[in-house]
Amino acid sequence: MTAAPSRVARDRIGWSHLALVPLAALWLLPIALLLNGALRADTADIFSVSPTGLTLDNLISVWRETDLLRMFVNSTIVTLGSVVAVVAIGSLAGFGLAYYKFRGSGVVLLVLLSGIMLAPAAIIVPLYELVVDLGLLNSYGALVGPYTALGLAASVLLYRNAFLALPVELREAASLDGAGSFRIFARMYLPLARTATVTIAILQGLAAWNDYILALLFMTDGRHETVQLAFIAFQGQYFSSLPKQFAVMAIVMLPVMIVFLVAQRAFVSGLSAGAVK
Amino acid sequence: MGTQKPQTRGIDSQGLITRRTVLRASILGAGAITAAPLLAACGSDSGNDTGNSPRTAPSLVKPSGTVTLTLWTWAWPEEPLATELKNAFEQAVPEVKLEVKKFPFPDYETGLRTAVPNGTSGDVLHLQTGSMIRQYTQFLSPLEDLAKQAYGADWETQFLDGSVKEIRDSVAKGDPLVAMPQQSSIGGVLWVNRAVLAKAGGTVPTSHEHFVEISKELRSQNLVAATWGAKDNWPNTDYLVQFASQFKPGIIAAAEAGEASFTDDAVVAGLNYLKRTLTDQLWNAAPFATPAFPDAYDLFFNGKAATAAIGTWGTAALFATPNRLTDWAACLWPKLPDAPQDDWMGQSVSGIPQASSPSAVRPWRTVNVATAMRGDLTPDKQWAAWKFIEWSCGEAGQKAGSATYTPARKGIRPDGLNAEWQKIYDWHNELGKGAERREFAFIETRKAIESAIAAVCVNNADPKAELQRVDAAAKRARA
Amino acid sequence: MTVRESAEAPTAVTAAGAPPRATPRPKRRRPSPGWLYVAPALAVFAVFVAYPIVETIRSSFYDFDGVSPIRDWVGLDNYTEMLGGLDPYFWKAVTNTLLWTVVTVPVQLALGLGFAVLLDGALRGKVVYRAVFFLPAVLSSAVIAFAWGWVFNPDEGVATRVIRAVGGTGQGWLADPGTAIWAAFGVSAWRYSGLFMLFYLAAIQMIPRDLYESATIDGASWWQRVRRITVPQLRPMTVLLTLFGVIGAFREFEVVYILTRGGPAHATDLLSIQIFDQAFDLSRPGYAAAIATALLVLTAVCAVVLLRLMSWANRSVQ
Repeated sequence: MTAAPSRVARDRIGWSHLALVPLAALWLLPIALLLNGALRADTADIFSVSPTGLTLDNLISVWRETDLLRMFVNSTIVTLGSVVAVVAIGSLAGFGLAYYKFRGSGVVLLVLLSGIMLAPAAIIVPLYELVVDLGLLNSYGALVGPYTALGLAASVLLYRNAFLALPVELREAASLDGAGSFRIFARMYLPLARTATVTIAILQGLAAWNDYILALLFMTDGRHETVQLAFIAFQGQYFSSLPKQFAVMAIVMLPVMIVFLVAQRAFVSGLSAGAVK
Repeated sequence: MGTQKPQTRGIDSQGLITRRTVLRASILGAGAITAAPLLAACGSDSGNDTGNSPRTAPSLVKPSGTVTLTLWTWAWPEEPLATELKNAFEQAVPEVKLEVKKFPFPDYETGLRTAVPNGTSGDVLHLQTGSMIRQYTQFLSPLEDLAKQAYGADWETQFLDGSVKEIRDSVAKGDPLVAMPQQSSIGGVLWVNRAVLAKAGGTVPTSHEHFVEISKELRSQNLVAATWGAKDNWPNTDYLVQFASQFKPGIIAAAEAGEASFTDDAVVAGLNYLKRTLTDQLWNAAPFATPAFPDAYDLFFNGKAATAAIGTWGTAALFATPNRLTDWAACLWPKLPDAPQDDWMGQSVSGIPQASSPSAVRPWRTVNVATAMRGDLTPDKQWAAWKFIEWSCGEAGQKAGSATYTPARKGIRPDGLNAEWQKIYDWHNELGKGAERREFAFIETRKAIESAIAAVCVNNADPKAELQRVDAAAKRARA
Repeated sequence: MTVRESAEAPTAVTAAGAPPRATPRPKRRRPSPGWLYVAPALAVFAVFVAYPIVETIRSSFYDFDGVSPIRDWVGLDNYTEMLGGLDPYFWKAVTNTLLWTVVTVPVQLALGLGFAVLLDGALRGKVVYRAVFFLPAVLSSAVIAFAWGWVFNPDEGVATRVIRAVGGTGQGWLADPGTAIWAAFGVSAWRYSGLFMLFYLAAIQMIPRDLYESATIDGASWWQRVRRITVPQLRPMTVLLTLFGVIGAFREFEVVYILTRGGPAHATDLLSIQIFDQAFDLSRPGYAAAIATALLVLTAVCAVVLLRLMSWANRSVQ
């Protein structure tokens, strides 16, 4: 954890606060606006900066009027499911491509990478038909499958690069030991590629948790909705309660924000810890 | 549909693909995988038979236990009213458990498009008249006989004049009635916030020039004369339908049907006037960056604007406000400069409580929510689906919903109307006589008009050239 | 992890009990064990990626409405309409998509690198800064578009008030076709710069310390060390982030769609938005598929260039 502050410690970079403070304020502005609006009772006060007149009523009634807990559980399941799948399948493929040189491995890599280019907007209809044909509609698989597919390409690429960066001596030593390739993969390569694993888990977790359109279309039975759909309940046909809209957005945003704030240190060190080059 | 399964055959037979470029690999790779199904598809694409295009009334079987019915809608109230409305139905029909899948309106079309052709949509669907019903007719159940049985032979006259016809007009000739009117509105009425208007003289605009004066006065007080949420596009076509009709009633509908041209002087004049309302600053700042719901209407409801063009669908919302009896008034858009005299109103008045101007701009009418059921339901689901429609469009359901929308059934009103509100409800029914048709038969035409309006209003494009494009789009849509 | 071993179906199938050969070498007839490892990925690919792509390309040769089962084979008509100038908005969307890529990716790289360099050192409060800059990356498109919509609100948004305070016209940036896309650029930079920062921070940890130590002994200033050591050493990460950034830019959809819906007057139309509009609003999935195919080709070209850059960057840093 002792990074290397020594290399810059002697420099006076305190002046950088001058640039960082206004930028940080700008970065926080929309979030502050949203939280502020969530705590106001009246639509007219949404932009008020007065410290009085703050209330938790919106948050409470939003929580009471929808089954947000179930939505959070659903979101967690599809997110974890797709993270595990992307890490497992991606690391296996990355290992196969990095450890073995075989005829067609180049083509395989390129074919797998082409998945990175899929724009979800372009493939909604065929994807939907696929999910229906596979009988996955209104099941967690309806989201875990497509999320995994959409994240797989990046995962394969990152794992392959990480495995290729491991020293050659490592694999020679391992094969002299007579260890099976799967043992080499599971006991040696995968743990050493922690950076890649953390990176992939972050990217995949965020993408899965935050998806809206596939969740809206593939989860239609009222039991599998994810948190990203929570705001719909508070949209009237013509008129909506604005403070409640702010409140539901805030409730959806806060847990992820807290998780990441708490885990932020772990992420940065997790990203760097495996990287002993 | 399910015939095109993924073909992985091509992957290993691609000696021709070098790893030299991803481009070649990805294009050719995809191409090779494509080739087989593509060739197969050329010949045999007509083999699909939907088979779910029933032309006879469904046979309903009352279920022995409880049936779960799914409603797909964008037009369902927010919580907690949503649950109240659902409970009201479940109490009326205890055999049915209702599940509501609500979409934000911009995503509803996407939801229908993916699910309806696959038979995976909700059992009951809320639809808009016009192109939405037209597209999905083949998947919906005919309802005419059921309506007759439920409401009697005179059922059609129980709904506001023209609302059933609006649905009949939505489908191609010879197709059955597949939806029932649930909400019906007259649109293009200017609602007035009396308190705000009082700050600029207190009288409703009686001419364009008067409107401009009111706006100037209000702007100096950081208020606006009228709100327009042009980002949502549909208000834009609404205004054009209205303004063009001042010069020639029915011109837009005629042009869409190919009986006139969109480059007709009346349409050009209407579009030019729409542009003029912007240069004369009648509106809130930046209408084209403002969505209609909620932003534009929030301005009005929060006391920042004197008027807003809300359909009668807004009546219920206005009526639910605390000082409903003294805060609001209604009028029509005053006669446009240079427009011919058009005494379509007859005995009717142009505003409540004050008149705005003789020969005022015509409003439009719409069945903004119609209820339909899928054609491929099992008999007990059919029973449940029809029970829902029967209730929603019947007296009890319409009354239960009247707190949040304007019912399509005649004589259904929320409780507690005073004489003035009674008059407002009556007035809306009267306005229907001269109202323009709002919905378009083809989306292509509507979209082309939206693009033309934005180009003229935002980019100062030439109206005639833009309207020529609309003509082309409409022609292609009809073909 | 050991549980997974038994779940490793492909291994069991061909290796028939015997562990796969560890020696990396191409063998004559027997397929390489490498195939076993890529098999699950290929299977997922075949089902969830190949099929949608194939189906998209296939339907680009048809004219249909996506509702009725009737499809008319129209050959290349969709492509001639798209490329032949019949669709006035297609080229606008191409320009916007490229502009989007060319502007947002460098800005995100520059901000991400800048944040990382400043926040890697001994700066007080760096943990807080990191958290603040990274925060937007964890938010969903719906939340982001909602919050920024209120910043840019033409009536009383914060940005609009600032413009008015400094004497602007007070219309809000999203209202003006000239500024709307730049406002959207800003949101994108805000959203992703922190993520880029995080990756740069991790990459900085990998730079050998002795490089800095010897430079310091040579009397190089902080800025010189950043320029001569940090930036060149980060090149592989820069290329990787460029690749992700470009692909992300081509896929950008939700935030812009909610924020501007491509307007005003098509000023912020992106290819992804056109695909959506044509497929769902205009009921022309065939034409939408042609645009999607064009987007696919465009992405592929960029990916090739960047992948080559990547192998070059990896080599040159060794």
